[in-house]
Amino acid sequence: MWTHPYQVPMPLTFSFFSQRVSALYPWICTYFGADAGTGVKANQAYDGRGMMLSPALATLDGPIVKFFLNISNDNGGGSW
Amino acid sequence: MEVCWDQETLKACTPFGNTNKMVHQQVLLDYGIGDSCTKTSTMGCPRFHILRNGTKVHRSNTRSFPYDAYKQYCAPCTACNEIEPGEPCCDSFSNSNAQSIYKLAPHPEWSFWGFPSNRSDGYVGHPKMHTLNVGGLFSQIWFPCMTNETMEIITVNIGPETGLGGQGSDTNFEISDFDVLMPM
Repeated sequence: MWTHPYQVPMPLTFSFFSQRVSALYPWICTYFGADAGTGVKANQAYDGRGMMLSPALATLDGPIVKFFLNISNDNGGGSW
Repeated sequence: MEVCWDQETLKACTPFGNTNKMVHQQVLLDYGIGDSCTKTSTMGCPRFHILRNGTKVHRSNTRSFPYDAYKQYCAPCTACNEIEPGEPCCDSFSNSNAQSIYKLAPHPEWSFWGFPSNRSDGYVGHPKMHTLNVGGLFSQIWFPCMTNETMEIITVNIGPETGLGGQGSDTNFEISDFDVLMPM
């Protein structure tokens, strides 16, 4: 499993997640995102702490989460 | 997508408090083919579904419950005292707090809020700019030991889960332009 961010010639950051499991390590998840918590966050490629300054109140108007996603390959996965 | 509250005080989670009663309520979207919430196996479904008009539909209501909109459910049995016998409990060891897990399927019931409406929508071969109203989505999800405050969304994550399956074992996601917009 590896992840790395890379820059394209525009003010955009792409993150590419590629992961493969085996009989010895049959399940893995790699999340990336925003988080309003504090302290250590385990088992994540990016900690995301502070990207949301405070928890977002759930209302009918949002929060709105936007992202571009290309699932370029999926064998054995399916969740996000 | 995650909200969190104390199951006893019914108030939002705090960094310090009764960790045995704070429950991370996790809602995720799953394109996979597994499905433990069906008309014939209703215990794999949340006890209720909430329609957009606010009506609560019990999972035993086979005429109205959208079984295809859910793939899996497990309850925060160690923290919430409203869990009914037979309801599946989440693994109590994989998270330091109790948790519940709602695995949603791509389904028209969620597409009003911008979520994928079917299995190919945003899946392999169909890259997509997603605009998801996460707050709106949570208005249609029923929770036991429901908070009496407005739910606080504390985490929004995107990323692959990969398991050793029949056909293969690898997943590639390309993600950009991630943003969380708060309503004014």
